[in-house]
Amino acid sequence: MENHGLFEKFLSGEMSDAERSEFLNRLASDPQLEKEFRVWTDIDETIVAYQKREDFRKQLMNVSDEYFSTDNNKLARKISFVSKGWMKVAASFAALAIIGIAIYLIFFSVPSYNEIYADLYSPLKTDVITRSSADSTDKTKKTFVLYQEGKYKECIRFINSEFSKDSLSTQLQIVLGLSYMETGDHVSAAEILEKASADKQNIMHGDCLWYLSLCYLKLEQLANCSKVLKELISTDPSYSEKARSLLDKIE
Amino acid sequence: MEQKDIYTCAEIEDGIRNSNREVLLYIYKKYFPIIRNIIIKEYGGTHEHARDVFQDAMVTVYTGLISNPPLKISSNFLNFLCMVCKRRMIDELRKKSKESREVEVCGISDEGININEYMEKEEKMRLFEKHFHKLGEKCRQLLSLFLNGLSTKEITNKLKMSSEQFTKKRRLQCKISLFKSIFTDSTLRELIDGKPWTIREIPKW
Repeated sequence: MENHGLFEKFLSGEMSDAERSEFLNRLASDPQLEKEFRVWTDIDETIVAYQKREDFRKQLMNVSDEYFSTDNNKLARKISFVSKGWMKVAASFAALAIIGIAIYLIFFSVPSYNEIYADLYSPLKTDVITRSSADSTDKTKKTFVLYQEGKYKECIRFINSEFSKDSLSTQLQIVLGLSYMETGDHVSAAEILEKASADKQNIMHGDCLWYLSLCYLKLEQLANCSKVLKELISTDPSYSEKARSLLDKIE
Repeated sequence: MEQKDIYTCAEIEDGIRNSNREVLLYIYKKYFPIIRNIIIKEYGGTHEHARDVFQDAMVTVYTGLISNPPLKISSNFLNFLCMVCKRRMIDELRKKSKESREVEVCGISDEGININEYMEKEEKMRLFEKHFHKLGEKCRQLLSLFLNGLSTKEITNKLKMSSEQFTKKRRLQCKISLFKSIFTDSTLRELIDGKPWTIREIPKW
């Protein structure tokens, strides 16, 4: 790995014809030397492209931020007025998770509850979050957007400061519970989700039960987890298979 | 280039090459939802995955476009972008699951562009950049200025080096240091000696 002087001499055109010819012959017959020379010249190419790539990345980040902030607003607006479309997305979401669980169960030995939780838990997709048009106030919208943007602590603060605890709608209770889950406060999450789960007519009832069962799993309250999963299986077909798999696992 | 409803493939290529904001925004608006659906539906990825993969793919395309000879996509930009994104996603999943089996993956676009070539180039660029970042600030400046065509005298003045001779010596030391750190990186061995994309197996997740 000490051919650098040779490489530099060749690249700067300082070699005589004889030296040049000998160097090229060595390159053709010595794979190690050829590898080293390739890396040596590729370094130059990378350095030349480096600044351009950095500038491009920055510009792309700006555009991406611009795009996603607009996209998010659109989504939030969509959430306020679309009440049925979520079912398809929820079904796809559940199907993906079911496939994930199936693969997990087939290929791996018995994991810990924490591992099962880590495997199953993912934040609720924002386009799955729906609510009735009756409560689509600006504050509610903001709550959903905060959750959607991953600002969970801010979301919790906002709900607690802007809404009265007693008059919190079921959807907001669910978003609050999900935010607590994201911050690792599963006790508070379970408490609020349990309250929300009493509203059986709510459009997000299935989601609520699913995340409540995950909270119990995380807290290793298996009897509660099992009870919630059984209710989920009997009430929400889009979650039943996924819930059944988890039930089998913990029982 | 002003904001338009539709850009031709050549305009898109130009726009990316020049980091044109309107064109990049157009690409996001028009193609990101498609790519996101593919990543989520076909690979079980998330919205965040899709964002990262899309961004990485755009950098790969940009690098191809500023290369010599430059990448020429000609007609179907979406098709090309999809292939790059899919390939990146497969590779990511393969690495994540430590998948080592080998299978066949088609690496040629409809227009005969070998995607593998650009993917490997991107991987190599990332590896080199990683090591370049680790160099000291002065070394990075020195190497960059030299490759930007500044003379040794100009560099000596600009970086306030003691003499041109020292500048030359320092530049070589910096480059050797970079070379050694890249050359001893095991990832490089995989990139150089590893089997090409065309004979890698699509992992079964």
